[in-house]
Amino acid sequence: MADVQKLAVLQDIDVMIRERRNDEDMGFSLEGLETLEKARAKLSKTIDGRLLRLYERLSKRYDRAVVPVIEHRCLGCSMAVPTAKRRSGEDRRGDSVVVCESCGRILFFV
Amino acid sequence: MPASVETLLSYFDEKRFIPSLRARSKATALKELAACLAADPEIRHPDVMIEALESREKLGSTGIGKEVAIPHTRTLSVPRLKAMIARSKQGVDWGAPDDKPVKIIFVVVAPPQERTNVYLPLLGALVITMQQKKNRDAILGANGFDEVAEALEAALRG
Repeated sequence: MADVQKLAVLQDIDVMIRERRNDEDMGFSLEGLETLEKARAKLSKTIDGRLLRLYERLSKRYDRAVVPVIEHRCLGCSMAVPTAKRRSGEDRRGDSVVVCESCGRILFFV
Repeated sequence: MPASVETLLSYFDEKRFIPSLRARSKATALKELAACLAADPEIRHPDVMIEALESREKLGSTGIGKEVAIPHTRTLSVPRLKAMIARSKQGVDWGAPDDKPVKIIFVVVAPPQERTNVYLPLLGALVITMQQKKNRDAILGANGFDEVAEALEAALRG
């Protein structure tokens, strides 16, 4: 799995932990928080340190550090993603990490 | 405005229906379910989706008891909400609170930025309707997707 995909999984886990109250309210039992946090830590260790630091830094600034590109736009700031970056992100299917030129968030080409 | 029954039903499709799962364990069932969802050309990162579903199971079983599980998660890997239904004749051990093997499985995945606000209402509706035996029996006894959809519609309309 490419680093940007690992970052997507990491963020999925972070959202899961942050929004677990919704699940509790629906009656799901969440006895595995510690297990999930351990899995998150394990996943973090497999991600390039520089990228992980970028993710953590962006996560402090924004609600979500990794955002999808929908209709050629960064969903974090709505700015258009330049064609060259789009091609880089789409053609390599996640092999390279592309950040938004406007807001700096990590782009995920869905 | 609450999501209508028509809206909730519109997320289910014959292409995302498994009448009888082959998998016997939760791990293999999740892979079988994800493979069915991943046949959708809109899902370009199936590996991320399955990691998210597996991670959610680590947080706690999505089995709600009474032979029903609703694996669900928000994940960047899907561009819009996707839902599917599967059944298992033999049942799958899902670690449900009542320890009963699961025979009806709904999968619901949605992007974090989902703007239709259907994700939580759909999950809530499934949790509530599947408490009733008549609704579960109707889905288990249905022949083919059309009858399953009819049973689900009747359940959602209450």
